[in-house]
Amino acid sequence: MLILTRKEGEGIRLGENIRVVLVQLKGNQVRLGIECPNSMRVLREELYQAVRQENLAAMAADPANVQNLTKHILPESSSNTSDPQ
Amino acid sequence: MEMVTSRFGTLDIPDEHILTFHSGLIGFTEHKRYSLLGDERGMGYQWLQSLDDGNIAFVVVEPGMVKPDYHVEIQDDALHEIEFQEGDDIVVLSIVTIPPDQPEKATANLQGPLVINATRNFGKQIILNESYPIRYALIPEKSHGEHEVEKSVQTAVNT
Repeated sequence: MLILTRKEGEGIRLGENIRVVLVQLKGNQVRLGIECPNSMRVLREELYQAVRQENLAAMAADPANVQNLTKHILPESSSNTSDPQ
Repeated sequence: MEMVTSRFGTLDIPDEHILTFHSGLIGFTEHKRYSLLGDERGMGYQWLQSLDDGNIAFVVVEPGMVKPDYHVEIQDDALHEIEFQEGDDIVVLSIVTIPPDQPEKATANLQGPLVINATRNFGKQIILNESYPIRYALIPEKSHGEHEVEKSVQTAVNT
């Protein structure tokens, strides 16, 4: 990992069109400003990791448990989907 | 293509049923090809079976069935990745997590839905900017136990 030291108000550039600025230092928090194309996704790391963890937990599904689950599903939705008209 | 799976035996998947996720799923970036299998007793549950690893399959559900006011905004990068063009049919699905010991506590991931271009067979898992639960209970707490009877009566009346 490349590690750079920056002061408040200073920034870095990634390629031609991504700019990250250290906006403010406050106690143990750092506020970052990020300028990048709209098409680029910016996510807090912990949110990404949480979704990743949930995918890992979900891949272990057992077909028997899915059948159990369908017994519990709400009557409104099941009658809507199974009723042809 | 023929695919040997741990849950469903050997499947013969027609080419037009192969979905390509260019980025894979989050945490599964190396698995890019999937297929949606049936639905369980018409309840809207489907399996997203990996075609790169027969052991990997996810239960998925249409989030609108679980949370009717669910709203997804798909950003340009995602639309580009699923090769969206005007008029294409987009399907949104949520991955379901079923705790093996407590299947009634199953949850749907509303924060990281799958968006699928059903016209062109491309998919992507996105993470929404808007905050939704990663673990949204499929079965409301109160519907366990004695409400079961009431529910089955309602179903009988509706049909």
